[in-house]
Amino acid sequence: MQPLKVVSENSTVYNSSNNKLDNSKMEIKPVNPDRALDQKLVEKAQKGDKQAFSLLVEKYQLKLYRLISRMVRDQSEIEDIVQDSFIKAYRAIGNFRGDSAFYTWLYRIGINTAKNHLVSLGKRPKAMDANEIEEMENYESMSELRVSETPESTMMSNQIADTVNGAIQNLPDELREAISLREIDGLCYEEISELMDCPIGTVRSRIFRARETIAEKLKPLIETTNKRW
Amino acid sequence: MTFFKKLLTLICFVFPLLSFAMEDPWLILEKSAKASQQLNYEGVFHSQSSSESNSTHVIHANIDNKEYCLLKMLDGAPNEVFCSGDMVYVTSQDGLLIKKRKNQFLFPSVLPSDIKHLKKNYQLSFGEKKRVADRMAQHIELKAKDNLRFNYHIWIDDKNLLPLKLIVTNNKNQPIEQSTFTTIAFSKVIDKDIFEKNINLSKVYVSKNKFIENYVSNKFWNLKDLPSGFKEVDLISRRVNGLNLLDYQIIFSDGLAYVSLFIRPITRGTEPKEGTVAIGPTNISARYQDGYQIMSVGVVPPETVNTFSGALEF
Amino acid sequence: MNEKISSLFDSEINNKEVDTILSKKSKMAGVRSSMSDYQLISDVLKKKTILPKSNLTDKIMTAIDKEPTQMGGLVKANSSNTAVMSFEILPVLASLAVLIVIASTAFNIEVNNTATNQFLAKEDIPQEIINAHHAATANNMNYFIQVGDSAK
Repeated sequence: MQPLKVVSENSTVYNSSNNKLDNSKMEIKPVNPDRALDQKLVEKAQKGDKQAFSLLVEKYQLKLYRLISRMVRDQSEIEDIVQDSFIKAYRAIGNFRGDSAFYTWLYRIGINTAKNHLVSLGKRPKAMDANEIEEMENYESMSELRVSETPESTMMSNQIADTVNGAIQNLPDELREAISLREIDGLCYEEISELMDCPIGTVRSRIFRARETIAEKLKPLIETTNKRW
Repeated sequence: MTFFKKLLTLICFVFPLLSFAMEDPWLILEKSAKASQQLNYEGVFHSQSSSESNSTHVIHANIDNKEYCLLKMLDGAPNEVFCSGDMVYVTSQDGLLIKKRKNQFLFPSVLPSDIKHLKKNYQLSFGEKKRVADRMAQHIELKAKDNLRFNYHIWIDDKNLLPLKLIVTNNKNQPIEQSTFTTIAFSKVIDKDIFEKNINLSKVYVSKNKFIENYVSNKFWNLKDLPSGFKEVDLISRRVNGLNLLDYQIIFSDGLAYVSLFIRPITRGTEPKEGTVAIGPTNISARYQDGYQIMSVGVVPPETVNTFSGALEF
Repeated sequence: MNEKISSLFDSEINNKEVDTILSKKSKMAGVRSSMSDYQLISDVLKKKTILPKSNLTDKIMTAIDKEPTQMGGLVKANSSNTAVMSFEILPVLASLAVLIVIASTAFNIEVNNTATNQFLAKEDIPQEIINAHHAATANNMNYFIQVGDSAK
């Protein structure tokens, strides 16, 4: 026996004037998978799931770090600002409605936090004339991280890069192709599956296996360093 | 004595000791559960939580392999509960209430008979012995293996293994519920007449309010990603008062803790609720979906009730 | 599970799989560690400046764990025995609730989408829910005898 619902299965949508809306005229916008995933994680975080928020932290902490490093040189200060930014974002997560991408919103919080931090230290953002501020506001053009490089850090970078590139070269062809199309060409799984003429599940599996193989080679290197330089 | 006789004697002497040493420590819980069903005893126990406390006088007997118990409230309004097998009769100022006992484990019968389920979710350790109700008792701790449930501390009688004291603690080791005997006496025989003086068991009782139990023809829901260690143990449906609607109660257990997940249709004029709140030691999580109010209730951490209420999908 | 983490890193994952990952609370540190590995590999392939793994995420989450849990814009205190309402939000929500009642009465609209975020108080929990739970599961006789219906 099906229970009777108070509201019918095919609910009709009414606007505030009690006029029925014509569903057939509604636009269906393509969904950006990255934004969709972020929205899902935000919604979970809004309902009390802190672990969902931790995935957003993991996803964007490096990106935010790179952003802040253009304003602040000292690494421990950068880490403090990144941490403060995420805490502020978490406190305000209930107000995030998805009108913009999550990172756009986080970026604004990060910039403000960094500016406030510099002001509180009596510092002005380094080398920040009007052009640089404008460049920073157009954050999509930014990709590079400014860090103070030491010989040790340069050596470590080179070792890691050599290990990864060496591991890539030794991968079976199909794994190498899959991960290159994903990481270097930035293609989505569907596009890769069309190019490689294989199911999406196979693409997913190949990319995963490539990553695992490379990560295994990296283990000895990254376990010996547990802090940023 | 020949060599072989000496060897045999040695084996007969040593083997029981070895067996005792090798015995599964969890078996003590099975024996304790049996003790609470089989022993004849009379005593007073005190129950306390953050929201209330009360004392109860209990008489329990096992007569011809059937359990009888009589519990009488010593505080507040006079109420009595009489259990005969799996039927429960509650006498109060409002009248007589009859229920079939399914999942209630009334103190001191707090341990389940099947401990396999418990093993997956709790870690067993033994604490110190101490006196409870003038009897020596062994402290047993059942520590939650994760953050989905609370910890249970039970003191069982050193001689007959009856649970004498129970404390439930949260993950900060704060007690949230406890029950303990203040006096208890064991006897070999208890007269059956003691139990039947208030209730005439030959009479047929008919419930005024008909409700359907376990009649669920089509489950219109799925459960996904339930908290680990909990399994469904019962499903009850009830008619919403005065309406041709049913609401549902799905009961889960991990062997010690119980959670009820309610699915109730929202009726006109009722505003749906969302959020989490605690009433005494009980946490409740509410969620609204597709015309139904979903609520999960249990003496478990708030994250657990949240996960339960989020596990339902239509 | 690990393949799901790789897909999560690429945002090529469905909601059900996200829920599966999030349900495994004890494995979340491992999930984040894998994502950090994948980030390092990605940075090398994209020729970005490499930063080795750090524990910044752990530090951030340790700080956030101390924060009150956010629940749909309402804040719940970390104490398991209290539900806390931000006093700043109360008057706003109260006004909103009044507006919703007036609007729904005036326009006879049925609320059939996701619920308004109602503040959950002890008084909001129907007593019959509590009674029904204890009647079916209680280990304390006091709860058990509070169940509603009676028989003769």
